Amino acid sequence: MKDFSKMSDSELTTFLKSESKSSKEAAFAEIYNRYNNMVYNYCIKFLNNRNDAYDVFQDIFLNFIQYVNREGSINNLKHFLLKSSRNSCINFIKKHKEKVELDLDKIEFSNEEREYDKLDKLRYAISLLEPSLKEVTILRYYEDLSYEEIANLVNESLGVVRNRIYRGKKRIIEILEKLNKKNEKKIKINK
Amino acid sequence: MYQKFIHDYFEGNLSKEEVDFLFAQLPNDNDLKKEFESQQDLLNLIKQDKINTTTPVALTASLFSKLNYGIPFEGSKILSKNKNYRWVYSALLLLFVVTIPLTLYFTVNDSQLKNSTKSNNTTKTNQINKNNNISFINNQNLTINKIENNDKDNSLYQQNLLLSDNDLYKKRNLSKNKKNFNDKLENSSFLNILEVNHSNFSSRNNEYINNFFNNSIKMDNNINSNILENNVLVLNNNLYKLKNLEIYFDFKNNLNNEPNIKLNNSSSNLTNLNLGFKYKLNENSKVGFEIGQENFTQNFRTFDGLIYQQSPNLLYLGLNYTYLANFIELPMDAIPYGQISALATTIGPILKINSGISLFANNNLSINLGIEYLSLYYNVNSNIYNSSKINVTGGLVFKF
Repeated sequence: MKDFSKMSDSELTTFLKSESKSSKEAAFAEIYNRYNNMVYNYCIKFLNNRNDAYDVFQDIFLNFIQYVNREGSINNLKHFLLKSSRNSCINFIKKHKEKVELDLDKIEFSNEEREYDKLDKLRYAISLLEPSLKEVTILRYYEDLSYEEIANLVNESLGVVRNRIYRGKKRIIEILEKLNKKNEKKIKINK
Repeated sequence: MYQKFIHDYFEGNLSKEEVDFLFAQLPNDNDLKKEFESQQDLLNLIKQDKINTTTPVALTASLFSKLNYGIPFEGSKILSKNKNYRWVYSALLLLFVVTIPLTLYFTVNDSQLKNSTKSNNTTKTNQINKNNNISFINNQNLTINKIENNDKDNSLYQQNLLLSDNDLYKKRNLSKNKKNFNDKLENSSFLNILEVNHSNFSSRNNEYINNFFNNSIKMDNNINSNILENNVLVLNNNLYKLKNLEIYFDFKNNLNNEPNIKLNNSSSNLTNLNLGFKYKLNENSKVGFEIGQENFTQNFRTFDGLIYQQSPNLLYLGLNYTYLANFIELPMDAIPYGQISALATTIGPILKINSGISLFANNNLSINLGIEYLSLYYNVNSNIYNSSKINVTGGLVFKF
């Protein structure tokens, strides 16, 4: 009985081309178990829409299977899946979404009646970041990648990545402050 | 002013001297302190968000369904949290179906008891002459030479009743002969000569022969012992029970699979099959046990609005009740039948209704052709769903 949980990524990838359906399924299940949250986090944060994220998420794994069947091996599976996630999300946005310039004075939740908690505000703030800041913020804080890994993934220099990470974080704090001030005003009016 | 400095601290980009300087300034500088706490709160919030954001089970299931893979353990563990309840549903359905044949069985027994009592009363006037003589002819034919009625008012006559090979395993014909015989017993005295070819006593018809002797004619011990010694009629009770057993095997071609026919295209004709045995309760009723495999498409909407589809091959086991419509006469010795089954799977119970005809090839083999409707009931997030399908079935039945 093979213990797939103890296998390396490259060993698991090899099993994906196995003749045995059960080995193939078990290998994919293990790969999925390792990386599904990483891919899902990236998609949901980047696209900020559950249905869109679902579609892109599934496409990423389906493309991955097709790629393995076609090419045979992948050197760095984590890098491959993140790169695939990034490309899929960017392509999706290019196809389906209009570019919107962020105006901090116009920030507000779509439903003013609902009570939003800190996590809602954070997610909303991240969703308002422009894509170049958003992706490095997600990769740095949600995927725990190093500056070098991020630079490699987004094809930018280390300096650019450092700067974008800083700007992304600064922008989130500004949006959160703005949202909190609006909330305080609303509470005062209600009182 | 301090934002970049504090950011670099949290990113691990400050030297030891710079870190010492930062912590020396923090208690004295409110702006620095505020900025520090703001960034710290943000990072804590992101950590919390990261923990709370996991791939939804429905999304996992949807992806694995698209790949035609089994749902991985973690996903299936969550999906099957109500599995115990599903077995309860299965058990209740089984209980429901089991009560049908049992009720019928006891009802039939009760009516047979009444008939028997009635028969005993009539034998007082239809006593059989002790001079009855059973002899075996060269080819082991059984001949009842003489059965006399004491009622002298009725005329005595002789009838030759020859049951051919085909006649014996055809239920209806035998039933007719039996009926004629009984009519004659009731109405007049007669001398019957019954010639029965040895090979004609198939397991299928023993009960008729048994009934024939036990219920219609009261025979003395000599006759029974002769029969047993010559192995012409096997009246041993245990063997009689065994001879009511039959084994069957069905294979199916999927005609329609709701709600999503497309997902079932990958399954071959041999994906859906079942095997079982049946026990004949009486002329019309059988109960049986069956195991099998069925490819069942499931389609439902989960709590987060995602349409969830999967098409697993389900192993099932359960009980069935079969009713044979002997009274309907069809060409080619065919007998129509109807069957209802209660089956259990790990996902939920299946109710199966099957109807068709049995074609008798010989005493021990028959062919079943029919159509069946199956409905699978399953629970997802406390909602009960059902998927149905229709199969054309073909099968072989081997009798002992």
